Amino acid sequence: MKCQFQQNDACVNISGEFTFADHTAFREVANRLFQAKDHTIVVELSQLQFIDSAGLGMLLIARDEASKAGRALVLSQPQGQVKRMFTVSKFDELFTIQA
Amino acid sequence: MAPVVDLREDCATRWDGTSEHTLAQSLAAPAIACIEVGLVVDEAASGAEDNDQNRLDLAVSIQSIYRQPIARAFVGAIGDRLGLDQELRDRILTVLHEALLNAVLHGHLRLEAGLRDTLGGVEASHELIKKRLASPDHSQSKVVIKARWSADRLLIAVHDNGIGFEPRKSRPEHRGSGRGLLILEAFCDSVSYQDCGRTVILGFEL
Repeated sequence: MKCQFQQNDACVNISGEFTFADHTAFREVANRLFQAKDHTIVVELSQLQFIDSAGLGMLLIARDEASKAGRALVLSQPQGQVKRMFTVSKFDELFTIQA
Repeated sequence: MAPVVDLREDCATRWDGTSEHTLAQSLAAPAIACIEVGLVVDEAASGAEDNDQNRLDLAVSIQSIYRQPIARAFVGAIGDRLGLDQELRDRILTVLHEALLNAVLHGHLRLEAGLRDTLGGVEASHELIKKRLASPDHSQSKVVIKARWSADRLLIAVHDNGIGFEPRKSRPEHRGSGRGLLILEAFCDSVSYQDCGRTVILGFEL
């Protein structure tokens, strides 16, 4: 998994693969996102090629932690396998997903 | 497909366990079976019903499944033999990856999904996984992947020698291992279980 933050730290671009092996990297990403002042946090996924059930689980945890802090977590532009995994897991009912 | 392991050591290549690259080399055609170095595969050879040209078997340790992209190397080897398109490779990779993780985390290590309700909990669960993987109890814990194919169908059986589970009782949860089973059903053309859940058979139309 590779991550690139936007200037205000409330938006991150995740690329490559996001799997169970990326727990430490994703926790660091989440910590930095939550330090931003913006209400809405955006995870940009257009370059993410592959996600597994553990990656989905970490996104759900981040969503819950954002909610507890009064923030919103938005998933943006999932493609291919990632988009299909979101559909199977009914993520459209759990997140705001930007096409 | 019978759930028994029928790897025949006399016709298997060996994988040194070091990297995806060396695994890809060990699985490259004309290999029909591969065993990770250090694993004892003690089941008797049967396999008389198998067409040797249409099969690929792999026996790997659970430690290697945790550390190396086993599913990706295996799907690459199958995909190259069958000339599979990227969409089907992605589907197979998705479910094989999930099936291997299920076999390790739940079949062998008996990890409880409830540990992973926070990001801190996820990291703590990985420390627990590493501790259990290092236990002498798991020095011979393995998973066997067996692929068989014909002109119109591919079957991949994933067999672990762990405790098994009851698929019908493992329903999808808000977040937990149940999602992995839901993914298997969505990405395969058929899914079945044998041997008290120790073997899952993933089917794909070609």
